[in-house]
Amino acid sequence: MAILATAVALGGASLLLWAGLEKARDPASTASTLRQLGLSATLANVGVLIIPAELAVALGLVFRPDSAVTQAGAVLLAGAFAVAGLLALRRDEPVRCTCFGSRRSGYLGANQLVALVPWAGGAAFLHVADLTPPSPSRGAAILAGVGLTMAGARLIPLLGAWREARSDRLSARETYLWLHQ
Amino acid sequence: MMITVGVLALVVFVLCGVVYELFRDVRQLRDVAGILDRPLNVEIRDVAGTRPSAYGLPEALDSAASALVLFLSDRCGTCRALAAGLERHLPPGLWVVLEAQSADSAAKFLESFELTRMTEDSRLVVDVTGAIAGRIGLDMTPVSFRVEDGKIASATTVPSKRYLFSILPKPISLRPAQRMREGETWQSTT
Repeated sequence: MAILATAVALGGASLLLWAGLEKARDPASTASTLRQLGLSATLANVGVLIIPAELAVALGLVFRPDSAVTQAGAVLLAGAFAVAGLLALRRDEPVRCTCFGSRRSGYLGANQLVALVPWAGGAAFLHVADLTPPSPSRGAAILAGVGLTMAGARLIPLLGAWREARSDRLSARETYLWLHQ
Repeated sequence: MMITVGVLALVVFVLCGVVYELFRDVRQLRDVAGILDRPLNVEIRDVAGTRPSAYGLPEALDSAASALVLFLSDRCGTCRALAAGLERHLPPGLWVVLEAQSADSAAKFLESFELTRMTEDSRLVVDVTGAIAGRIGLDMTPVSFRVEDGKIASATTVPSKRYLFSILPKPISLRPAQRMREGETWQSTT
């Protein structure tokens, strides 16, 4: 039970860290999405605070998954995403989802509504599981593990893009050699 | 200590994202500048309409409905990128002629891209002396020759793996047949 609860907490933490860090690179696109949902410019700017909230809940899931504040934070975030999905469904035009940063494609809508169920379920499971909080040093080690895993996952497409860019450069250079022959 | 590792890992994650985006930007700029996947038509004059086997290419090509013959060299960088992109197997419809300076360099090339097993397949030909390219009059690589109905139809340079895979002959399959019920007869729709 404890292992499963830890896995649920770390899975949620990884997702929120990934989403929060991606959004933090380009907060303007999050504000733009909120404006497309019909929020005023001021409210949209305030709504960007969802980024630190995501990061805080992610850290909470790593260091204090047993805390009711962390669990409630996760449900509140999922609720906010579900409301955004609902607002998007009511708009005439599809609203681009910047859930995992501006680079990702996809639209806000039913996915965010459906995601509320596993988030709420996960939080409830953590509440019932009655986890013992990790010591600060163990929590730091877990954070390091999560961070390294995320960085590793990011390296895979990066290496592919690097190889592609390198072959494009070589190819362009050789094409110009042919052209000047 | 561990917290520092964690924070640094997250910083690396963010930086990897930034670099990935930069690679995409560079590709976009290359695309806009017209230097991405820019194939050049190769004038093949008398070679057009002739049988591939006349130049030493495998005779099986003479009866191929549609095939692509890719000439690679062990000396060009793009050829290496293309060989790496083959990922140890030849896609259907693709034939490869590897020009090499020597048998040794050909073996090294095949080994470095794990293509050695492909030599068992008649679709990979090692042309050590450059005899095939010499008969065709080809002096650049990578170049692909399109074979249609057993005859050489056209040739272009191959600037990238993306382009190579886009010009491969695509198998055309029939849609699932409709079963006729008993007593039904076929009627022409023309």
